[in-house]
Amino acid sequence: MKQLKPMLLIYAVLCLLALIVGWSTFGSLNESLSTSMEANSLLIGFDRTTIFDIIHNNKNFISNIIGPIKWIIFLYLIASIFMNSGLLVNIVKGNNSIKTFLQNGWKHFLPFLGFSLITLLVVIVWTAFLFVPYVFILGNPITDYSTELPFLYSFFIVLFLWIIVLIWIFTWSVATKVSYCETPLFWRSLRVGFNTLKINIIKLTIWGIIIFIIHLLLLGVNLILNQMNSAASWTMTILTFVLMQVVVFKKIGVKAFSYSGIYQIVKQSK
Amino acid sequence: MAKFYLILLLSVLTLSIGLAQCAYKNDSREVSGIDYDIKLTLDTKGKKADCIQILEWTNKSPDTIFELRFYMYLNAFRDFNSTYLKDTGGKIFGRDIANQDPIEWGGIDITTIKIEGVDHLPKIKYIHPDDDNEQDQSVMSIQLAEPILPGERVEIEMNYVAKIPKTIARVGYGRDDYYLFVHWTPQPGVYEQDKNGVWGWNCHQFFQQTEFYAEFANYKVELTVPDDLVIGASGCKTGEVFHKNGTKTVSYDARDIVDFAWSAYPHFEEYKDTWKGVDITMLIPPEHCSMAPRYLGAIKNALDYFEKYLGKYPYPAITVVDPPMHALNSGFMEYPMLITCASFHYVPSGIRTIESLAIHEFSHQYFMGILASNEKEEAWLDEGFVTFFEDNIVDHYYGGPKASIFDILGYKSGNKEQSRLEYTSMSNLHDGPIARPGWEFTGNYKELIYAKTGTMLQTLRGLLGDQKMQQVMQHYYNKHKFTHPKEKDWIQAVKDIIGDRIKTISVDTFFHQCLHETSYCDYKVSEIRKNNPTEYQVKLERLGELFLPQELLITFMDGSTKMVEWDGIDKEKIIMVKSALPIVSAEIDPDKKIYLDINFINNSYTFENTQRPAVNYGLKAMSWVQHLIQSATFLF
Repeated sequence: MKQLKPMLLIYAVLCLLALIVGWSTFGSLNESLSTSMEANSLLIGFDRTTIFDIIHNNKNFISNIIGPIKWIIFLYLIASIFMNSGLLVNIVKGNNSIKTFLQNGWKHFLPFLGFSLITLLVVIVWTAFLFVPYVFILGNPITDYSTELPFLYSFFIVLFLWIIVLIWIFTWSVATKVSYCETPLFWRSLRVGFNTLKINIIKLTIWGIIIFIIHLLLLGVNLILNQMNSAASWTMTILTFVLMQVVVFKKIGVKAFSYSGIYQIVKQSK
Repeated sequence: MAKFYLILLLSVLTLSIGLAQCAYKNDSREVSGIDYDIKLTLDTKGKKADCIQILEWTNKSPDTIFELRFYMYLNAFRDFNSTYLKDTGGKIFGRDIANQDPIEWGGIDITTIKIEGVDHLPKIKYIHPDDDNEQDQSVMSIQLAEPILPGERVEIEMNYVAKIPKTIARVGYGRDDYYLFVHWTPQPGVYEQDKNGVWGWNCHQFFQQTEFYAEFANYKVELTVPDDLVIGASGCKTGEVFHKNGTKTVSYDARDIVDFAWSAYPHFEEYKDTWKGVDITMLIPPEHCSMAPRYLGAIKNALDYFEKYLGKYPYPAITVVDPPMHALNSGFMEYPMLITCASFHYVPSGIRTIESLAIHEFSHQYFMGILASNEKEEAWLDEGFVTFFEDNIVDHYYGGPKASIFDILGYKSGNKEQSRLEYTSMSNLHDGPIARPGWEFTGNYKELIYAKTGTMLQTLRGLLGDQKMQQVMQHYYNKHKFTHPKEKDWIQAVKDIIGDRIKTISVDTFFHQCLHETSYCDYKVSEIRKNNPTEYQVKLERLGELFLPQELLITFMDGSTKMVEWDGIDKEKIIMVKSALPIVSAEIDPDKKIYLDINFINNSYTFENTQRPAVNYGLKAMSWVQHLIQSATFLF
């Protein structure tokens, strides 16, 4: 938890952005249910009739919630490049203060934005490269096979391949950024990042899979908390919210953890 | 371990083969007048069947009949000129049929037809009583050489080739010798009285939005097919003879049914069980075998519910066909004593679409099979009633009214609420009335015929109470089983039990509003006002055109309540309440009896509301957005 302070700052930004949607959801629901006894049906959990009656009779309900999410993702994408820069450079340079986090974030923002855009491009190319031929070769999953099993199995294989290569792209991107922290040459860093991945492919793959599994576990925990959640009492509402926030914070920790792990692997390989 | 128990259960089910013996108890029949004797030889290469059919048909009308009319459903798949396919633009149910091979089309070619030994082949013509499509061949007319007198029975002998299409909708063949033969025979229409009491043929063309309507009949069918095919069919299997040429002949006896259906596939696994003397057969491809216990449970639950609520299942058997994925279009359908469902390799137990579909199709055994209403003209009489029973059965046996159809990761829905929401989610609630022929629908067929009708029946149940509703249903069933009941028969059955009025509204007005108008129901408590320390006024509004008797529950500060009844007719109603105690809430229809109300949110007005749910959902939304944006940006 060396990077606790920067992580708290990242968490604060995350909260601030998500609060826009949370507040909008609260506002829409409160407006619809302010004088209705149907509010009681939502006390013990999800009630489809109530939620859908609200949606059907308040046409802006969904757009009020979904609308902001698009630009929040975009905004956070930009902010996260800044914050990830600060976090990674802090890890590489052994700093842990907010000041260095902000300074490094600012200093490395543009080149890291460049790396992120290249990463995004590679992800898009890889996804298209894998899935477009797959869809073509697959044909119609309903009519072209005797059973759905070839479709199911091939889909899982393709999904696995996709994830593995995403792990490589991610670790390549981080290794590139680590290299840039040490020698701030853009194209050279990309090359060094690639060579680092090549040399440490097994270690980095294993590390990436571990990070992915931790992510899945955290998602599972969040789903369980979501299932447990109810508005039966303020205690229950606040408790599940706090636990969900712990999971959100843990995910920031996983990011720092993944950076740190990749940095260690890169350092050892030198 | 779970797998072990599954295998054990399937083994027990499979071992029970031979224990079950589908058979009719005696020679009696509920109905008589039409008897089929069909010998079919399947040509697996040509995807067609050579059929010899002897049909004995009785004129049960007081008329002398000069013309016979037959459904020729397979001709709907002969080409794009049929009424069924002409407006499809080459695509139907997700299939591109514009460039399909000749073998993939269907049709019936009659080679000989003799009535009482007289050749009638030259007297065949195709008619189009419902549209001006001269190319449509889904209804065949035969001018008789000799008229059929009232009460007279004639023998009609036909030889024909039934070519089934590659599965388009319901009927068809699929990969690896999968077959579903339904409506493949030239089948007489129903000679009956119309609304004005005039006798005539009811034999409509085949439209995409319409299903079927036929007379009850008894069938003896012999199917000669390759011996590796596993077969399921309407009726009881009475024999199986294997031939040296690699074929077998399987014989079936089926009574008092409106159609004979059969399916075959070499890869079917057969699971059998019985329930109070009813044989249950499930034909399932190996990749779906884990669904067998779920199908079995659903069918047993449905049998149990119907026996208690309506009447004992009158047939000795029921067969459930689960088509393989490539023939999915042949699923989701009901035939007498045989239903087709749909499943996948894996469906989580919290998603109960497997059960609800099986229960829906089984419910058609009663509404379509036994109460054989006209699915073409009055589809709501089967689909709407089936939806009502499906909702009740699924909610009763699986997870209750709020979690029966799905209950997964904290998100839940009941089957009944699913039906109501299907109706209330219509973009235009005034789209059209329920009671109209299927071919007049241009959209919202399922929403109106299934969902709104089912919801209307739930409303009737709410207004009458469970016990009276059951009496009405039982009376309707007992009075009209093995006949073709119509709207007037249903309404009369309701009146027979409860009289002319449902509380303050007449039975006729209730059904007229629900079935023949496009109105919707929406009531609102818009205000509670304090006039003076001991007098309050509660303002009620009727926002929709449909009016129904309402109850208003007023709750006072000390928890005491007062129920006020309102006929629900006025657009606005002020209820004056004298009370020293302050009113804390007023709620229209507190027990949600009027399930047709499209918005329950505005049914109540309270001063004592909690913001907890809104806060809770706000916080949940916040957490989910945090997760979403974290995941979306993780790589960068």
